[in-house]
Amino acid sequence: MLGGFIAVGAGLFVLAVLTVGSRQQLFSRTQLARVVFDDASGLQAGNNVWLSGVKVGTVKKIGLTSDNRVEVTLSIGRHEFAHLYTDTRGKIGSDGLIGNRIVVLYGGTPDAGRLPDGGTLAGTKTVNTDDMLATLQENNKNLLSITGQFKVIAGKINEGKGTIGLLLNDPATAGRLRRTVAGLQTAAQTTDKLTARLDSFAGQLNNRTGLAYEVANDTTVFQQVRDMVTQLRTASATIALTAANIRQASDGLGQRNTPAGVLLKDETVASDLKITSAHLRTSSEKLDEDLEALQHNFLLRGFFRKKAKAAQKAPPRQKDSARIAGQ
Amino acid sequence: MDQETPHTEITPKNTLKRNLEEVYTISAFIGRFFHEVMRPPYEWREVLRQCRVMGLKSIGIITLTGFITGIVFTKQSRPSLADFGATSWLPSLVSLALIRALAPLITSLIIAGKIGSNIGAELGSMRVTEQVDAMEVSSANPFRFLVVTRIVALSCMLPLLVTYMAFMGLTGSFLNINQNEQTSLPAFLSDAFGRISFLDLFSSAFKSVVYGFTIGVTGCYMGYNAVQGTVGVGKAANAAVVVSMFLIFIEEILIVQVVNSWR
Repeated sequence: MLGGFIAVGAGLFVLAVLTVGSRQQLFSRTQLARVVFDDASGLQAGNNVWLSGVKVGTVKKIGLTSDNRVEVTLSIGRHEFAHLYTDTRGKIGSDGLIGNRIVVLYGGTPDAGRLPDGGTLAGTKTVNTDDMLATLQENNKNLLSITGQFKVIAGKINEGKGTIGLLLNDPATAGRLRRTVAGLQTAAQTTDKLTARLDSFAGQLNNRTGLAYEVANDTTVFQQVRDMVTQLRTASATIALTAANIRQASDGLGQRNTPAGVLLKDETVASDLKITSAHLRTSSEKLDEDLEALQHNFLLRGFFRKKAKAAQKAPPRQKDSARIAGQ
Repeated sequence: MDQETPHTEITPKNTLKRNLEEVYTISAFIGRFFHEVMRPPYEWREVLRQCRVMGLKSIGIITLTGFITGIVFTKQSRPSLADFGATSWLPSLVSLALIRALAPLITSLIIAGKIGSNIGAELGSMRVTEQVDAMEVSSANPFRFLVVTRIVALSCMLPLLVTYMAFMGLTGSFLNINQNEQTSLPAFLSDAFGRISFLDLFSSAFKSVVYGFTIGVTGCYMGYNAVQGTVGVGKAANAAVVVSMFLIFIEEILIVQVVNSWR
């Protein structure tokens, strides 16, 4: 029993030592890295080192450099050290809002190459409490200035100056604003109705039996509509060209220097044409008489007799053709 | 310790003289212990018997006290941390408190009450019944057999009891935290040992040895030098507890000062 008690007690103590030692990486091989900061911000030896939120080591030593900067030596586990590159950077953070200071390593690209044992990383400046208080003080000054400006604005408003002051102090402006708001309410109601109608219309468009739905969803119908539109465009272009020609012809008819325009517009020519027409009618009548006389001439009489006989012998269709030709 | 005769006049000079004689006697007693402990033959069998009496038979009270201490300390600390939304720090807070201070202090106070008084009464009885004198007459070395074995056994057993109490305290704390914060055992252990350093562990072990030695020396001194019959036995037992507790607190504050200067 006594031996068991001693073994358990000693075992618990050794277990605690091993646990603490393993957490501080005292029983594993480590490598060193250095980070140079402008300000250690209360960092102490033994504080943790995090890489991407994972504890990878502890702060081994803190010392000042010749230019009064702080060189922090980090003890990092050998396996974790393989994830550090020469462009990895370090900053001093906090473990929680009021927790211990920690060194946070971040960034780094494989292209930059692995960090050698004892290599130095660049440290970045972090915002400390003093910086935060200084910023807060600056914000307080700005807030004070803004408050003063608001005070001036409020005074002007109270005196009825400016648009807002007029609005608050002039009953007529308030009345106009009230009417404007009422108009806006009416417009809003109208918009609601319009929206409802548009919604109904959209519902109809979505009807599967409608043309719009087929145009939107049936590729064959859509292609047909597209062809039809193309043809309409071509026809429209042709009609436009024809209209242009007609317009040009119409323009020509209205001008006196063109033959048609002379015929349509010149009264002298029209009178001449009437006279010429009368002459032509007289000449035609006389020509008919002359031709009738020629048929009875002895020189041409035989020709007309032969033609009449041939017409009597031909079939009815040829007779019609001959009759038509004779006419 | 309380060896003055009823006829001694109480004056500042006599008081100072008496106190200086007391300091000399105690120093001589401690010096004799170190002298005897280095020289063979060693009373291993008696040492082991004392270890069993002092260590093994104290497990029950240490288990109960440690378990309750862990639970109570956790429950009492939770509201303060909850005000900051920092109840996740309970494991580290409890482990730090237990390992750095509570476990060594409470264990040694319990052992001072239980074992210190026992040693004082036992040795005092042997002194007033002249058993110690009989051993000296029979060429046995009563100091080696009675005093050295008890001090060595207590100095060895107290670190084990402190470790055991810290373990029980953490167990009780874990049960309470697991019930309230649903913290898993790995997370609890990770948080609990996250802030513990080697300095904490070894300073706690060192304190335990010192407290064990103090209780042993005080109890043995009071009992070994008991006078006035059965009344003296009671006084020796009482003085063993009171003086050893007082010395434990004095040593605690001194050791904390030294350890913090290294931290």
